[in-house]
Amino acid sequence: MPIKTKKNLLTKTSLKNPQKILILGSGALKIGEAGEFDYSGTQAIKALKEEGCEVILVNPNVATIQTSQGLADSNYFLPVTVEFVEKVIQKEKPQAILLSFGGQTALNCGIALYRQGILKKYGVEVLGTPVQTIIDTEDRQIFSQRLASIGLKTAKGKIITSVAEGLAFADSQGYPVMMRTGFALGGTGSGVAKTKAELQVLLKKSLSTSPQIILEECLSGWKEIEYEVVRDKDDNCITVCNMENFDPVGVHTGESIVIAPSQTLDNHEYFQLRQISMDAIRELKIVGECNIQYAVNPSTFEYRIIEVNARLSRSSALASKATGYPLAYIAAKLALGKTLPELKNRITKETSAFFEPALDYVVIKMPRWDLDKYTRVNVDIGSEMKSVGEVMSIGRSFEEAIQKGSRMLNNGHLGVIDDQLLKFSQAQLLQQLEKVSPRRMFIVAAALAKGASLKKLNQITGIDFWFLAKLKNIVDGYQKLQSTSKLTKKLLLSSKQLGFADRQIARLRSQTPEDIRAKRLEQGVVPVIKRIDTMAGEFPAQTNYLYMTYLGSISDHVPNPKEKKIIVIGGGPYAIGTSVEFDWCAVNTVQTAKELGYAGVMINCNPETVSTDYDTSDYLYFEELSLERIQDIYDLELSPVVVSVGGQIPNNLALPLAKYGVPLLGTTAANIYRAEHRQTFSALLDQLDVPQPLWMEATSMDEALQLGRKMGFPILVRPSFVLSGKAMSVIESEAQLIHYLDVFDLNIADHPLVLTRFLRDAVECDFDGVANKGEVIASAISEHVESGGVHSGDSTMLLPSVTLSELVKQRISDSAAKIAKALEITGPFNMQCLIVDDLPYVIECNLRASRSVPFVSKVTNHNFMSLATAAMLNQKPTPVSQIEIPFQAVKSPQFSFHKLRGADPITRVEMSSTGEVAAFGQDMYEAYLKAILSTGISYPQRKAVLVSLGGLKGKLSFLKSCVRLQKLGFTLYATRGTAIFLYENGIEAHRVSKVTEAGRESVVELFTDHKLDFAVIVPGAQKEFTVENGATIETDGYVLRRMAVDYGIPIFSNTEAASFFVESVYRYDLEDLELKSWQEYLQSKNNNTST
Amino acid sequence: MFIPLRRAFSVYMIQKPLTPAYLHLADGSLFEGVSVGYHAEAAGEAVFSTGMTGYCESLSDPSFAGQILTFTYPLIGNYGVPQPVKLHPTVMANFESEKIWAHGIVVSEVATEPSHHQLQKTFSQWLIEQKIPAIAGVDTRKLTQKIREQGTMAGKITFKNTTNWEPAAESAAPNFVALTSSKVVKTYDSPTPNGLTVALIDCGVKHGIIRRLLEAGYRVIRVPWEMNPLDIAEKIDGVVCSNGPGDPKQCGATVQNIKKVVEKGVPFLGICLGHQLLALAVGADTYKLKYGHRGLNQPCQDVITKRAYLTSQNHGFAVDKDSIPKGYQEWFVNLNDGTNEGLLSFKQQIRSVQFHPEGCPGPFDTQWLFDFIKTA
Repeated sequence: MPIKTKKNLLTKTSLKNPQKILILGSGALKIGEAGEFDYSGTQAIKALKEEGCEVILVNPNVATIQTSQGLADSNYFLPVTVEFVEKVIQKEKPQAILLSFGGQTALNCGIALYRQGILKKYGVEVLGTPVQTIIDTEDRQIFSQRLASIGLKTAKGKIITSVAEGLAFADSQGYPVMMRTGFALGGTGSGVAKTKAELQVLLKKSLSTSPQIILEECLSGWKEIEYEVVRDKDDNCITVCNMENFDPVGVHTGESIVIAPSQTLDNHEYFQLRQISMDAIRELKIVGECNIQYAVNPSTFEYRIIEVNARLSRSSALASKATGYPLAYIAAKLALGKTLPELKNRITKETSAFFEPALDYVVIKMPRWDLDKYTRVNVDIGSEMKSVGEVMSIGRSFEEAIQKGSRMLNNGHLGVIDDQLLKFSQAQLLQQLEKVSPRRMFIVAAALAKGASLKKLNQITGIDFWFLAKLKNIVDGYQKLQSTSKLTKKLLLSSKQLGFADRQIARLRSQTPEDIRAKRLEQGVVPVIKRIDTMAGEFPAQTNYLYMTYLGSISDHVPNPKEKKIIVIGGGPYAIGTSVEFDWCAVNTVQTAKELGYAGVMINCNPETVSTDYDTSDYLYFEELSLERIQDIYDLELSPVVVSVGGQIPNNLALPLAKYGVPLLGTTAANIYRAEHRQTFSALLDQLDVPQPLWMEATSMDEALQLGRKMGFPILVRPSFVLSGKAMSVIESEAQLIHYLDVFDLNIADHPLVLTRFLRDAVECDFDGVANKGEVIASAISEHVESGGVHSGDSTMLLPSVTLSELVKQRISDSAAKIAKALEITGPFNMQCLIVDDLPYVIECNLRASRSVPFVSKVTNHNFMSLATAAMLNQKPTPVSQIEIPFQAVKSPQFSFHKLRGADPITRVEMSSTGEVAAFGQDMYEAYLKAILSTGISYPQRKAVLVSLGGLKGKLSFLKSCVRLQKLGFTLYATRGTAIFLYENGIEAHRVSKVTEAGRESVVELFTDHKLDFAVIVPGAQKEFTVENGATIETDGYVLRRMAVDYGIPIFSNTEAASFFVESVYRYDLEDLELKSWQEYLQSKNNNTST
Repeated sequence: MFIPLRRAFSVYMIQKPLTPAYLHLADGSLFEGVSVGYHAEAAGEAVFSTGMTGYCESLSDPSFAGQILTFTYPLIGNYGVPQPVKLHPTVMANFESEKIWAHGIVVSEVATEPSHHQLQKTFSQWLIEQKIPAIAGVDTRKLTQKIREQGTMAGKITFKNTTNWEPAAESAAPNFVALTSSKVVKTYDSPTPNGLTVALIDCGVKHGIIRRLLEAGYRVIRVPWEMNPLDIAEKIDGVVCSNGPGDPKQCGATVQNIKKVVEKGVPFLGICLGHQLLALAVGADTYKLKYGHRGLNQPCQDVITKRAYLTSQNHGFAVDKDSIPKGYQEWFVNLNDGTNEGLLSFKQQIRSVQFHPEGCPGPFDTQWLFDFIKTA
């Protein structure tokens, strides 16, 4: 009997495309939700536009590519919350919605829209994975049951509500057990219990604050493996990539070093887990992309499914960049009903999208933390995410890739071996490994160098022998470089193959990096260019995707020096202060260059970006942003380089690249340096007659005190050389200055301390400009809500400025014009001023694109990067005359304090926000409300506020707002001093005890009972920096602020922002906020100019 | 829970100083590396495989007989080589045969300190034990691109770079099928019998195929490549023709036997070489691919249901889809290059696939194919 050739019911042709589709973005960058969602959202929009759909995007993240001109048809810079999205649906009437491209934010909003029946009400179809699947994967119990029904194993666990119940579970399951609280407030609730006694203690403690607790079998020490799975509506299914974590289970995958593909799974295990992944995704009926995480017992190959993310995730962005497979783009097509076999592989353009990439290289992702930017933060790494960015490195060996990755982090490492750590003894290093820290891998390498055995290190860390042995190879190479008398060609080559940088070799050989480079070039020890083609070379593919390696004899790609092209250095890893805005600048530079007939060569190493997408540049080097590697690339490409669009990393390379003979586009390296170098720049300002705050340098404590007295306090102090930059502080008195110098133990004899007069209560503003041959051709002045002393990255910015007079604005513009002319600026620049008595004092000027460029470009509707690129390419861009903005835009910072256990949520001279949003409105209050509501703060509903104001100044500046709050019918709760102050000023406030005070209604209840809308807890000015060293001063305020964060209560630690919020709430109800797209705001502008 | 620690079994150190080794290719090119296997010269057809795992399965796959195999994945040997386990005195449980069939190996890097809970020896130890030479330190991507552009070609691993090697004037390639096939009839019973018996024509069968047939419940009678399965005394319910090395046109006897099977209408499943032999038996033609399909990620689509599958493949020849005779149709097609991946009879339970439904190494998306006998 012939095989049944049943008419196939699966392959109906694709559904007719919905005409109008709504996409939800992820909002501001925050810890756990970063640039990867700009990548996924941007790809999704492109995929939908190709199918002829009209795309509506709700995303308040102004710094993203996805919210730029030419992508979505309508952009709403509004909170991704049910209230606002419902209104957008009501107005736009989309036929369908995509939920899986905007991270957890979009998913949560989508679930709420579904649960509240809003999607049904307006007849909006959810494309891709059904909402019920999403809900099921988010609910541990249902998730486990569904997978168990097809014989798949998840971590055994149980929700318990009593100690007895917990002990019973542990008895049945065996120790150790992992305990997690349902609501991880205060973060005190998770831990591992090895014995019954330990569990009893943990349960008692946690059940006192949390009504329910999850107990799970403890999988720590198991291997953590991930698969990225794709499925279409016809049930075709592939796994695009698998990945193995260097750090075993117990460390969040976002905090782990991750390698692709897996290294220690054999064929059977690899394909067994692959099959399970496909079985799971089929059972869950996911359409599109998902990520599945496993714990695998290293000695038995038992496995547990830890979780399934039914959406694009950080790992999918990584997998996409690691393999070249355009996951987000394909996922969007699948959501529209396309099938994998009918889609083309966008990389080869020849083969089908139904395939699994074969890698002929290894990829390593390393997280980047910035914990030292925060005060009092808990620095242990574990199951919660704290990293703010990541890098991805590619090599033909593990050693090469991990050494590259170490340098890409841009935090001072020359490679895996950190000379600073070699000062410790083996015992000390092993001790440091008892807790997981951001430096774990470096400490392991140092311990290996000190003779620790692989076995010992495996016992302590659980890291697989394979990884440890690889690190040992690097250590051996290091020691060989140290001990071998002659640096032969062979040794040089093998060292480069182990990933050592010229700088590190130079240091070990007591030579200069230039010597090593010269020697390498002379002996022909140079890297080759290899191409990533998703097929391991099996098929010819002209992809743009390149990396460099010393493990190869010939380049896949031979650059043509005659081609008209430019090299753009990207922003590197996201960190505090360097974020998606620089990616926006880099992408726009390449796009403009393309329009002007230049091919774009992008160099970047951050997988969470659009700049590293397959369709952004003509040539993409996924490479280190080190001087050495850029020299290597330049030597082959021989094209001019743009250093002014990727933030501080490329900016710092200007001078050394120029010295190497690299032609830079735009402002000269010498002039960039003149702006960077404090003395030179200061002298220039004097010469130009541009006011600047008084500043001086001190090389001893006596001198510092003398200068301090002379200048008058407060002063802003910072060391002229400091790696992490955490030592910048505002000093109020001599005593504080002494204390400061004690605490930081700075070597100011060698690196003088810079003292600057601190202009208190000055209005701060940002001047963003583009100049062409010294002439300013476009500019925008944004005013800060917070006065000087709060880092500009943490400030709320108003554009157009609100309080600045025409005179002041003119003065600012004049100063900028003078500087632009003197430094012969061509390209983007940013100048910051403090305004006192109508006089703008210039505090800084960077001859590169600033954080606010995407903001000013979108608000003014003049793409500053396009203008800058045209200027840099000598295309004589037409100057933009006076820009009129007939609406108000506000940019607000997004903080991630809730992810950083223990961190004091205050804003200081050092930046601490992780992202930003912007919103538009008819005035600054309306725009501000939309912006602030986009950062996770809700419109006040409970009508209750806690106020705790440090210092008289703080109290006075918030008094008016308290009156407002009272008028609005708010209940005010206040701590002792504040309550008395308010009483004296005729405002009634409930006095609550601080945590350390006894007797009164405890402030704790306000938090635990969720009585508050928000809290205003302002530190006294006197105590600004003393929290740095963990001193006890300000303990009460700190505890209150921290509790507010842990209980999810919005907190203001700055009275200016708090007052602004109160005033906005006073003027606008939630219903009053206008629902207009960006395009509509810009339209109103055109109308205005025409009338 | 106590997790016993596993570390690399004794560290096999590659002899120091490293011995240089060379790969000479027929086009005169020379690749230099270091010896990481047995110290003996070996010649063969230079091919590449893109699998990222599965070196134990690949090297023990008889279809690689006579070839110098390049792995495109740069790190080979990471999880070492396990202790061989036998499912049956003549069927391996964790290898595809009892020995390495490839003549030589070319890699970028070999793990000297592998790590795995089933690890028994290092990759290099295994090669030395099996007397197989190997070169590491080669730009395998460059080599792959060369083979892709110029097609597979003769090559030789040597330990001197001085001699200009030229492939011996092709004295008709050896018949690797005869070499790899079992010489005698062997019978295996399934632990979970389904009452059906299949004859398995062994053209160099991968033990994975035997394992899958046994798992499916068949009693398996493995017969030498030249034997007519219909000559088996027992009643057989179906015939499977296995994979195997080389040019299908060297297996004239098997083609004749398959013709008889087809004429009799006995349910038939051909795998890889078995697919090509069925094609020849029903009058279709085969040809040599420029550089073959060797990897674990070959996408194939069922042309009837449109369902797509990821498949494991290892073949240098293909069936010419334009030569498929009446009564048969193309069953699967390769989504990468459109080549034929399967044959299907309209009337009979006769079919074949170019890929390996058993995986080993690779995905087992198409394992259901082993359920090829439909009983009424």
